[in-house]
Amino acid sequence: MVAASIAFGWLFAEVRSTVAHVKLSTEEAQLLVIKNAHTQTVRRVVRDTQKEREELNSYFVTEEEIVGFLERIEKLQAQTGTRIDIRSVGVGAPVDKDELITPLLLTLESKGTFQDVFYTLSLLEALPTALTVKSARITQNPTSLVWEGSFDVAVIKVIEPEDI
Amino acid sequence: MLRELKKRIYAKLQRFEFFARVFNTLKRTPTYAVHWYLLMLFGLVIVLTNVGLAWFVFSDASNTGSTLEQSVIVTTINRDELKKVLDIYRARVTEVEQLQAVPPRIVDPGR
Repeated sequence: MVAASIAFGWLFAEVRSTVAHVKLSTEEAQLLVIKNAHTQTVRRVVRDTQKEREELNSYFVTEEEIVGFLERIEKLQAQTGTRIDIRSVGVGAPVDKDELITPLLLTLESKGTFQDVFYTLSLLEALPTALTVKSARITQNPTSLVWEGSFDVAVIKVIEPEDI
Repeated sequence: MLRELKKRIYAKLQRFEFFARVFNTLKRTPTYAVHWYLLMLFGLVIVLTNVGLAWFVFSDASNTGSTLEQSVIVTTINRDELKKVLDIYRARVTEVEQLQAVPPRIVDPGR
């Protein structure tokens, strides 16, 4: 009777540990299945949105494109008929924790007629680039009567993963 | 003393029809058969105890899921947001083209 009770107790403990092990394995398997399904979804979403993401990337400025972007701004002179000077270029604090996205802070100056300076500002604001005009001041020189615009601009600069 | 107690319990249970019938059956049953019945009853008690114990110990084995579902909720690309942002930039492209074609007419406030 005692031996049977001990055997029963031992078997019960064995079954209990086996059930716990099976439960853990089942949970791990379920987790893997869910993670796999999620990964498949992410892959599909990434594949399906590739065209859109590439288009969106084209609106951001990368490290290599900074010079080209500044030249593009200077080229607005021909369009607006004003003189555009880039007074300062700086880098702001990173927007994301991976420090891949940082704002490029520019101070631009434009001189000309009021309409031309305003036109420059309008073109800057409408540029299809991740650009925001932080502040704009348009003043008239009291002696020369020339209008001077000073624009603080922030452009989103991204570091592409392959550049890291 | 013990015999007296047994008699009293027997007498009290005899009042109930069910127990009276059981006692009658036992009286008519041979002694060796009663032993087998008692053994079967004992076995039934052990089986029921085992089932109850197993149910109590293993009842949480089937409770999985809610924590797993919570641990794998991860954000993906929001297509609506992406489309919204692209629409903003596409509108900017159009706006720049319009501005380049037709510069805005602004009256000089200094004049």
